[in-house]
Amino acid sequence: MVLRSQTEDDDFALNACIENARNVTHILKAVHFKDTATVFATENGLKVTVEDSKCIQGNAFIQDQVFQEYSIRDEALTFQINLDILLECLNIFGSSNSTTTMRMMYNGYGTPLVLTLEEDGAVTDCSIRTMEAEETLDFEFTAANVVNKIIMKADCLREAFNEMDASSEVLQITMSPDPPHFRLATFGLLGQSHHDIPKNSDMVEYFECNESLTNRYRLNLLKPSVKAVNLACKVCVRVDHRGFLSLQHMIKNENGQICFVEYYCCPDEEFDEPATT
Amino acid sequence: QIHYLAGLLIEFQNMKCVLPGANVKLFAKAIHCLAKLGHYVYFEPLDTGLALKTVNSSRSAYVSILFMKPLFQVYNAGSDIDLTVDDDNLPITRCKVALKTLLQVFKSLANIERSVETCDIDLDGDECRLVFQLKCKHGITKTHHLTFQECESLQAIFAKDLSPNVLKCDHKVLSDVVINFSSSLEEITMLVSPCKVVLRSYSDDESDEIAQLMKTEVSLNPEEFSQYQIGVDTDVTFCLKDVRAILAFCEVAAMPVNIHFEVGGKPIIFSLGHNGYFRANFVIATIATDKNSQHSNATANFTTNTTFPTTNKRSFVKPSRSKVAPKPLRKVSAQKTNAKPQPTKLPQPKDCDSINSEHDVSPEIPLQGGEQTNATRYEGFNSPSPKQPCFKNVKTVFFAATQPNDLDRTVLVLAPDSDNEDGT
Repeated sequence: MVLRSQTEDDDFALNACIENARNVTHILKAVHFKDTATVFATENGLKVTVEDSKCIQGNAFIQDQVFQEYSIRDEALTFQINLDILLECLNIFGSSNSTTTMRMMYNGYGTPLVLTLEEDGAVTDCSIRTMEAEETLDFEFTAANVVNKIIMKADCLREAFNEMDASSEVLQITMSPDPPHFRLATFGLLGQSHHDIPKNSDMVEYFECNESLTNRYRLNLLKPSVKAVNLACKVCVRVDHRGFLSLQHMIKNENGQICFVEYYCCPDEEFDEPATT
Repeated sequence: QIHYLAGLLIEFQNMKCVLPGANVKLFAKAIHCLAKLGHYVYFEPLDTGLALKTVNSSRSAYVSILFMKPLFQVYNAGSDIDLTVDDDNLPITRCKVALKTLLQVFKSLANIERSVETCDIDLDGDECRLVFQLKCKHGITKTHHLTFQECESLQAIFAKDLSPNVLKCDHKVLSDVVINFSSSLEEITMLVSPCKVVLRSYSDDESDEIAQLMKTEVSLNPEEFSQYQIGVDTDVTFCLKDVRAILAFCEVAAMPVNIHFEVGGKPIIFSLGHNGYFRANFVIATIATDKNSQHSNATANFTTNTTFPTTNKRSFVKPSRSKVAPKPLRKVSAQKTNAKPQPTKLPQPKDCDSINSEHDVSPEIPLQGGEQTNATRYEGFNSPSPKQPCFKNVKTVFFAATQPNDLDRTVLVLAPDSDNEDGT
């Protein structure tokens, strides 16, 4: 459903329209762990970045093909926006079975993000103030530096995270060519817990571990990534020689299209004692 | 573990057992049930199987669930050591684990049923950890190294087979009845006679208007029971919340439930079992009825004022507050009292199937640690003085070591008489 006339559309730097707003909302929720997000728009689509404590970063990628209409005038546009408000607006009609159509317009630096939402004949216009985009962290995570990589079905990670001992401050991840090939360990009030997934498990689709690496991450920082795991069908876990963790979640939206949500987390350096496996 | 004992080289083994997937769900459900009643689960590996026990903080509910050897793929109770030998290096044969933490291991029953293939339970004496290893589908292994505390044996002495009243029925009969009662109702009264069983809501809180305005009553025909033996017409009042937890467990165990009881003041025992495989006993205290002497009401006040503040809401003894002024706070030493309890002859049930035959009926063993310094003994049926049975049993449910005459001795006199009676 086209919401504005063709001539008006040309004026906007970014103009995108989607028939089912849930395909956007869904993905944004997977990175909604802070109220502020940085939006990058390129001809390939949108990237929404959320960061915390300079240690963790979540990126949601919504490709241009997900939208029914997508046009961008400049090479790249970037702005910061309040993610709480954006999601509230996108959900303005509440959750229901019928789909909400959304048109998103942005006219460059200093202008607000304008949303037009329509559901069953009711139309809502929203204008959300945008802010100066702050520099986002570059974790310098490159494929070349990846030491260990495992792709697995999201189910087993989901189960592991949901059963995890919340009283543990850290999550220790071991990836190794030797058993245990993939281990999630917590050290909480109840003692030590391990969740081991062997490389020959039918839940593991790809296994490439060159070195035995064990790293610790703050559990409360990684917690937001659980939102992404819950939506994902597959997760790719990668770690580089510095111990930086990359979690790539493959999420299928309601139309069967694939979107990615990626989390980067830096290791916890506080503990002096050698990490035990 | 290798130790030298009196010059001999002896190798000890700690407990190690493996439960197949089909029985892990039952085990998990048992943990859930225990968690609703107590704070710690006592693991006692016996020759016949692994016993899991708990007692609640007010000592009004005791549970013992025995998973017998045939349920396990591998069962090794560990070497049996005489605990009277004072040697710190002896391996641990019993331990207790916080139920809150153990629940984490068995959190999702659905997941357990769906994916667990075996559950290994090992007591690691070196690392002082109780290790649960769940081997699941897809090769996934979940290992939990839980901290535990060493402990003495937790035993409730009761002889359920001496109960004059015995009911046996499908758990569903009771579940269907219990569902009619308000979910906030704490206690329930069961009145029995040879012609019917009546379950009635109970409230001792006169300020609770709703409870005063609405009372629920459900009757059951003897035909609903597969066994219906009423030796003594009576009514017993006990905690409904505990019974709900028990019935939730029965649903998974899918076994008929037996109820043994006598009169108010004596515990009611819910038990279920499958010969040779499994046995569970739930011993719940019942309220001593009003037929008691004035003295026992005083005891009731005494009880609710002292060491177990948690019981204030759930006082099992009905104090008639208007009649008896609360006694001053007595300085009751929670430690064993000086006066040794009368050596009561505990029943040696050779002819009954009760759980006593599996545990060594030992003299009172004080529990280690914190507040649990009272011997946990339910002197259900062996009151030495037949004249004051209810009085004694009410007290012994909460304070096993005290005797009637001790009460006077422990009164803290704040203002002694300045004059003696004889004028001197």
